[in-house]
Amino acid sequence: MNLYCNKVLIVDLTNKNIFQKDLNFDWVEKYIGGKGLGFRYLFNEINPNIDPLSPENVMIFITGPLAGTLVPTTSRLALITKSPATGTILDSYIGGSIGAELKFAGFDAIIIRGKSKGPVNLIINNEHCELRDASEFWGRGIFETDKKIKETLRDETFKTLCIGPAGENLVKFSCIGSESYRHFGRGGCGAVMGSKKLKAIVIKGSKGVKVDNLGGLLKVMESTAYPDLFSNENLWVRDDGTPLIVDVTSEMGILPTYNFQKSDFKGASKLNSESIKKLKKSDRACFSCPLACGNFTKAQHAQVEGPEYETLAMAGSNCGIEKLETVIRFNEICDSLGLDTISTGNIIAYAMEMTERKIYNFDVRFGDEKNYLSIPKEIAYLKESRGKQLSIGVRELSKLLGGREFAMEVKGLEFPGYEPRGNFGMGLGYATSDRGACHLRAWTVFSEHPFDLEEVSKEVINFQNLNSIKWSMIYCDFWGSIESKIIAEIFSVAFGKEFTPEYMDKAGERIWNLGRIFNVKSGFSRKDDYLPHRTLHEVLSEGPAKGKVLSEKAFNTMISDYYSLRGWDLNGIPTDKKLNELGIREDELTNVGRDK
Amino acid sequence: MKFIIVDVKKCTGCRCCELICAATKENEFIPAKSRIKVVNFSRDGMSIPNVCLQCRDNPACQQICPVDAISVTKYGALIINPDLCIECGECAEACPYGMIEMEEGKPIKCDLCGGNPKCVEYCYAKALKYSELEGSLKEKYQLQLAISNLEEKSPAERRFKRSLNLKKYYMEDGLDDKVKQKD
Repeated sequence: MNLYCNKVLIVDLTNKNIFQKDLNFDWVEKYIGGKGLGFRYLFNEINPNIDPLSPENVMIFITGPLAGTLVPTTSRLALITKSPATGTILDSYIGGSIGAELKFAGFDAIIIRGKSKGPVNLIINNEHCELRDASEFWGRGIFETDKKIKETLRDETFKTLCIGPAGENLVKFSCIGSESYRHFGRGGCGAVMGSKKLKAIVIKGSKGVKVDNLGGLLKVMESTAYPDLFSNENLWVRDDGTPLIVDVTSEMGILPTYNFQKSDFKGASKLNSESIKKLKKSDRACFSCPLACGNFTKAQHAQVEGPEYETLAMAGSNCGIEKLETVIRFNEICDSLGLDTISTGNIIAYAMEMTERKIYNFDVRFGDEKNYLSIPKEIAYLKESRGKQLSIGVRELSKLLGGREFAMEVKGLEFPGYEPRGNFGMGLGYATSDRGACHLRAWTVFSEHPFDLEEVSKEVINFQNLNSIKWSMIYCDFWGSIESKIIAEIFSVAFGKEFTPEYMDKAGERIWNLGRIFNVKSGFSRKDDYLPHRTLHEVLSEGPAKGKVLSEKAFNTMISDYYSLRGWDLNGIPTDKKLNELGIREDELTNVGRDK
Repeated sequence: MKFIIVDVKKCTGCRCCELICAATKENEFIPAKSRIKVVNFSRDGMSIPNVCLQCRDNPACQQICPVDAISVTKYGALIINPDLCIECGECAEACPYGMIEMEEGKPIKCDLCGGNPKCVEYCYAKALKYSELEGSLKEKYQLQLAISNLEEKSPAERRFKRSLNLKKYYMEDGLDDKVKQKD
């Protein structure tokens, strides 16, 4: 078969049953792969109203069609599920080589259903798939689990996807790690895996990906892909990696500082790319990527790939921590425990502010390195009342204890590293993202009109649509210059059929709307597309964005514009007219049917 | 005479080399059949490309071949003549670097792509150089030549053990094991 393996692995943990199904090609042309196809499969698997931590939830690990080929950055793997942090649909992506390995094992996707009685590992060795008891690994950190599984299998070439104790203990912001350097980070996906008692998925494949027009694909890579990938717009990825963004947001005054109280940090120069380079040992790449954005750093007692911008911001400036070695150590701790550094940094900063304002004593203040480094372990093991409290996420915790005005989250997903008061597009993006506050769906940092309400709405929509098709092919975010023309050109050659840029644009819009429908059916509407009180009411008092606030009035205007431009009603619900236009049929959304 | 020489510290672990090698030789993206093999040590932030060293002195594969099927081309590659090869597997067993594999009964090894190696062309990290043995490149080559592992049975195990030893050499200090003890 060309490009796809045409095989989905279905794993029923409840009944310990593993079987294969053909890929649904009716859906493939409409939804492509990755985000789009994963969303479509999710509609087929679950009722949107289920409890995300119940056995009814599923985990869909799905590749894009180009995974395993030389087309750069396309071997990322998507995870589609329902988020325990937000209750929304959740799409998360991981780099490294696990996506390619799944294709080489002969599968386009894995669907995990049900719940195992005891801890298990799923071992996939080409077509030989089995569930094995994982009791000896339960409780161990991700690095240790990865190492021990490979030792047990006596084969270092297996790739693993593991949860740590945080996922096992259903922490709302637990993550899944692979190959000691990449993660499915957000939305509490680690907890879904933990609720199923699935400790690890272990994959080895020795097959290949066939491309009928291999010669043509290599040619289009030379003529179109590599030249665009290496254009000036993207070279920062190779030369610096994400830490460069510290200087960018610092200069703009949108670097989260002291739980978003301020937006520029005096210690920023100690956390920027130049500082990273002093501790960097090597550049790391994901499968097939020539840009190698990863920075492998070594501090005195820690080594880790990273820290990435989000960690430097949310667990650095946002917590008042300016010592890079400390952030590296924090990064390593979270990577081992399986905690999302964005949410963990965010909630620690909230705890710091609560303590300093004497609303609730979490015994940690801004800049307090000792407690900052102890808290992740407490959270992961639900130890001490502090760990247990913080483990429920900033939204639920602030509802219980106060400080709701500065619990920086949307829909229960903690804010990432950009201050919306200094860039309104980021605010609209956070509010309208399908998975809660996320910076990736619409990254408007370089907008030419960051405060122009009309322009902002249009930009956010364009980004969300483009990223929907981009993440269905699964191109990496750091191929920032890619757009539908290139996406169409490469896919046409690879698939062996002509796809136009307009087709891709429409597919992107369709896929975004599909996610919205899932959320609507889960009970979401305009009331949930909000921003925190701090963002809407507190004016930034200093720094390059001094005097700025994203007023409630401005926000409501943007949201109404956004809905209108999207063809949704004033409550944020896609109209039938829009769904018809996009070719989304009602039976696609309500027919929950699984094969036995 | 040119060799593919590995600059280990530059390797990012992207494996584009494996993909283009397999695509060129097998017309499929199948790293399992690549003639160049990268061993990743992600926890240490290091990757070791394993290449055929096209041994000059007493190449084990050529010496053991019972039918003299292995010869040296004019540009220095040791190649296996498929018309003479009896598929006995002795060459794969003899290579101390694990760089000959038996795939579907036939031995596969690097042939330098006729003097224009594709892996070198596609290595954007510049971790692979196709060059005469001179200066620091000669040192790198000689170090890599010196490290092999005949005790292991399979080529994959040999490559892994060899890469482990190369990693120990290239890591600057012994801190890594102490760091990992707390993993």
